[in-house]
Amino acid sequence: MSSLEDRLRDAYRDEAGAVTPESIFRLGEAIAAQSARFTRPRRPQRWVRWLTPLAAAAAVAVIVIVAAVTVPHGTDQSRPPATLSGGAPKYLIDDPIGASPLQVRNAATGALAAQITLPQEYPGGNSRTYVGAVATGNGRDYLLAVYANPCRSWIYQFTLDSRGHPSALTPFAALPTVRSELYELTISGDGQMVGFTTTACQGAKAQPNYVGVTNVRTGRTTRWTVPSRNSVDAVSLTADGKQLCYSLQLPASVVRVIPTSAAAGSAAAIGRTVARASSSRWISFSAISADGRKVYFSSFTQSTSGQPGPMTGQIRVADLATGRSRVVYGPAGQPGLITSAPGARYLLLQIQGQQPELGQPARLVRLDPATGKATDLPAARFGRIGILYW
Amino acid sequence: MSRQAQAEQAADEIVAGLFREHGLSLVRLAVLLTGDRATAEDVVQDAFLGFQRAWPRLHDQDKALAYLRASVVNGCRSVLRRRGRVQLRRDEDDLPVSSAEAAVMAEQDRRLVLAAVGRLPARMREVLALRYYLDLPYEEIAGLLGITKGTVSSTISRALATLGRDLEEKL
Repeated sequence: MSSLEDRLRDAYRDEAGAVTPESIFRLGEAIAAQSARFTRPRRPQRWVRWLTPLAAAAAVAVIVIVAAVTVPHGTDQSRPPATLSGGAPKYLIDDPIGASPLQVRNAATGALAAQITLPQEYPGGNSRTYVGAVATGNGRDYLLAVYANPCRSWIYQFTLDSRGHPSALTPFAALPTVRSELYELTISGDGQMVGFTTTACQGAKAQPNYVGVTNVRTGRTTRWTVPSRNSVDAVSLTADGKQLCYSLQLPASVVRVIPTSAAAGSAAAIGRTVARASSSRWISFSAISADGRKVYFSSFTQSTSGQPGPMTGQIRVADLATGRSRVVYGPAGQPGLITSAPGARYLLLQIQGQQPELGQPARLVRLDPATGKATDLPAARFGRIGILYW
Repeated sequence: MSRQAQAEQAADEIVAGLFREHGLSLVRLAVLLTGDRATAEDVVQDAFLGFQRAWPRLHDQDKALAYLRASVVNGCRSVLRRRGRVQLRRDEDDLPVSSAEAAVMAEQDRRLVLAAVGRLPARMREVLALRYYLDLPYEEIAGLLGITKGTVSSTISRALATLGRDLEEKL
């Protein structure tokens, strides 16, 4: 055994040892209590069971009809987007457990509007699946990627109506599947360009990561390679789909913008770096504005205590014309989850209390990045929050 | 008691028993993958509740622990997607001055190693934790992550090489 392996084992052992049997007693109680309250599926009444075959037939008909609908189009006036006053989408999607079902929640109140159940079976896949990403360009039409081992992502589309109820999931015709783990997904405001990032599948030899776009109208996909040692953490598009923004981790955190008209090749050789974290900071989130003039990004400091958290973070904005950046929002506490409404019109931040172990609750804040105005949302009503998509 | 009620009670008892036996190691695994105790407990709690829902549908009920481990790994991955690897990065210089020199050096090494692990891609971190914390054999890791044994081996090799280079640069 090499000394490096020894060091690794020692480090893991010491770190894990901080969690003692006594310290998880309450967790055991919580699980027992929740499992006792768990509502199990009840046997349907006879008339419901009788209707099931009819419902199944109707569902097939709905799927056939919805499959003919193309995705996202901002100019479609027949179904006005469901938005809050001020242009923020009325609903968001929560992925509380990294698997089915997803939850549709009112973005202002946290009220549960509907649930989205993922398909159960995937051709050539097994039951080990999880949600890869969800994206919308207008707060109404959504794409949803599901990763299913081994090494394939499936992309579906659906629509939320004005009550937050989803339509049936149908395959996304322009990019129904990707032979990779689709990690991030975004749609331009005009609905004509889909951006994505993929991470290498473990089965592939030295496969790089990719940043890519698919033109919805033509179905043409262009990919740019990113070394597998770099993870791509965020991807966004301008409203016209002409610029794609993404952030990279390792060896340094940077935010880059590339023109989507560029030919396939190395992402590093295309476009430009618009923000870079200093040595003691890193960037885990970025989003380009609809007009492509600004990029919003997070900037975290590392812990100085040697223990996980507390950390501090900022939301900054970079002006792409001048190359300068400034702070938009600097909350007290530890920023965790950050998600963006289409076009970065609003950001949603989950901010952990500075001492969560003392029961200090997390805040959920809606930020208008143009003005810096932050509005606290009723975090408790959102329940257990996993990944939020807006 | 009806058959359904009996089945539900049995599932509750199975969940409680599994938590007693494996809860600690699962929370520890989640802490290693997320670096955050509160998040780790959330992930493990969700894994157990998901397990209880899935229990009647599990084809091979002897694989309960494998199911839970896979749920925890997937749950950690989902959480980290949006949070980045922020909590996994440790400050590498801040050490308690009152500690004995050897203890300080060991602590410093631990932090360096964990910080370097935190800079690895998610899949590498998962494989390393399953191998070097849980001491799982390659076959079991492969089954857990849905990859081949050869891929587990090559991933570990690449991860150790990257880790070695990273740690050398820090010296």
